[in-house]
Amino acid sequence: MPDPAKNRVPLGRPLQLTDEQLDQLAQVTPEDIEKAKAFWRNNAPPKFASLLDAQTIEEEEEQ
Amino acid sequence: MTFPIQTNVLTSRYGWNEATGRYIDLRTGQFVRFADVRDALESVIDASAIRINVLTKSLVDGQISLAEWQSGMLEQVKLAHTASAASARGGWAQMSQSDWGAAGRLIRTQYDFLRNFSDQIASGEQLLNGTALVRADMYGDAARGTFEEMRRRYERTMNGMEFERRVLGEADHCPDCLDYAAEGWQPIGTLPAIGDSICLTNCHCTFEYRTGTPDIEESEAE
Repeated sequence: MPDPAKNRVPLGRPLQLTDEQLDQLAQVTPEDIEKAKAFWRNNAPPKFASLLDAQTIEEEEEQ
Repeated sequence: MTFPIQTNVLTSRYGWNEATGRYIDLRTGQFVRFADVRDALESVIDASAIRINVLTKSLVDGQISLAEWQSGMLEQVKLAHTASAASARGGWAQMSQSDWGAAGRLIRTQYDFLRNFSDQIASGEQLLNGTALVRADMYGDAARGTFEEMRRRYERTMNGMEFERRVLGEADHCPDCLDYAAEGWQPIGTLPAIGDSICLTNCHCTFEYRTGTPDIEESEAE
């Protein structure tokens, strides 16, 4: 019987990220936005899948 | 107040009214309830939580390295918080450069926590067991706080709101949240952010906003 412990990936070291690197990584890029759009569309309830595609609309004047 | 009813099916079913800070269902011309927006966000947060759980379980089970886990978490945190920020601000088209900057700062805070989490796993201070799974779950839940912070920012800077009050969510309430809610109307931006209570990212509280001078008696009575 295979020993699960032998098949474990070594834990290794964490990514060594400086404050400056984290600053840069935290910035939201156009690519991030496209991924987030797909994530919302695929996981929001169907009725609200297009909610975030809303455009600003002006209210109409009452006649 | 009326809004045009949409007939073009090629565009979104929803619009955003900047003056009220509300989504509008263009098929009915009615505002979308805040509760519905938050419920939709909850579904997205749940999906993020599943991904985070799978990722962390893979780490606990020795299927991926710590660096791979950390990299996956960085991506997942950004995904959930980006969607959360946009949902608070009226959708992708309404997000300005300034809004994206604010969202980035909220993501950056999470990245700090994540770096600390990773370092503690590496040092053995954080055990790779169920507690790691519970702790990892908090990163998805934190997107709820990002929603409320982005909304608070909008209400203060663009919608002219002057006061806020904490509204308890449908959940068990920690002592902090009960105290903050009991404070009633306070100047906007002065109550602790959602997630800054004992219950941390499990918090389901929300904020309500208003202009004008709040009636102190009203606050005390609530």
